[in-house]
Amino acid sequence: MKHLLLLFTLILSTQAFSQNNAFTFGEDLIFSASYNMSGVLTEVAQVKMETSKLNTNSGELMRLKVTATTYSSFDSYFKIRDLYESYVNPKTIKPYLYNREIDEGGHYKFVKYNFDYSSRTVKALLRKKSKNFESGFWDQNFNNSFSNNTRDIISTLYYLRTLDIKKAPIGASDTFIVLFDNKEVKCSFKLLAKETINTALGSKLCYKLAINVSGTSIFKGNNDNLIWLTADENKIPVYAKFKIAVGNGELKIKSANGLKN
Amino acid sequence: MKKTLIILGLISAILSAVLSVLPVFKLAIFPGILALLCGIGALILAKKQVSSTQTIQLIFLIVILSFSLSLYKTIFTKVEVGNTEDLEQREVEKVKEAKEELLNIEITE
Repeated sequence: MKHLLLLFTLILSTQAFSQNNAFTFGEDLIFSASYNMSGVLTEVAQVKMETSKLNTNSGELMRLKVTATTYSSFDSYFKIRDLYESYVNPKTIKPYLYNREIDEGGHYKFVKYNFDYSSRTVKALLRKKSKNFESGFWDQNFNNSFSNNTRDIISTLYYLRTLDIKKAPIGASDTFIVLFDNKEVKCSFKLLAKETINTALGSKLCYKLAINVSGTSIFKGNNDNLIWLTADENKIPVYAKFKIAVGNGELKIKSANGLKN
Repeated sequence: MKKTLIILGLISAILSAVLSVLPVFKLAIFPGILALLCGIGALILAKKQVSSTQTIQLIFLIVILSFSLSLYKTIFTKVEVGNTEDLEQREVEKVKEAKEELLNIEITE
């Protein structure tokens, strides 16, 4: 009962009062991704998270861009050039357009979601390479309805930073609905602890959060996927540990520019 | 026994050498250690039997070379992103498409 009450309070506080005081246009975070090979962590790729402005007729949107690029030494073996982007309302981090274009070792996939808030529908496009079509691509179109707080994976990650975590007690959790691979999946974040870790930005007091995704095989294990957000106004993701179907690894921040606070 | 240790040691030493030239050079340590252990075992047996140690020396030489190369790469290799022209091109296209698609949307709070 006590936990339920805490959870309810957390959800209320985060949903009602969350404002984006964490990041602004022009933020640039660079990470190094390491993959665990037989117990040895090897740096394999660079991950970049950037924000920029996009003007429309009715106002401005924030473009959240995440790219993953393998280091040149790995390009000959398994080249990754992934692009994820989400165009969101800069205040509420509600997405309007999401693009995911992945090119991993020759495997290509493009996913696009157009969120229409007036009809509560998302227009989805899934594109794969195919020799059976003249264009070289096989397109599939879907129209799905979505619930009020559905976001894509990128906007969810940024939205997490806007939450007022400092008010949350240890053990509190929050669940988000994420549209991934044309399915709505529940993604929950649980505050495990507050701890100080050494990063490239210096020694930082961080919120240690566990990520659990139900209804998909993206992440493995229970509380094995962790993210550390700095316990300040910026809530920068400085470190992450992940366990996925093909192994495990970590993400470490290398640099952070254009921070809001 | 000595022959088995030499063969296993030689295979491990070669594997270690191969791994040390690849991007996963840090993994060279595992077969390298195995090769060293096999080499030491074979050396002890060879000393007892008073036989030739030339192949065993070769195992040690290959392991030393692979460890040196791995150590050099660990200290001096700087990781850098390769050619991202294609990705940048795709990014420009995506922004252009997004501008067209989002130009007339109504931004809600």
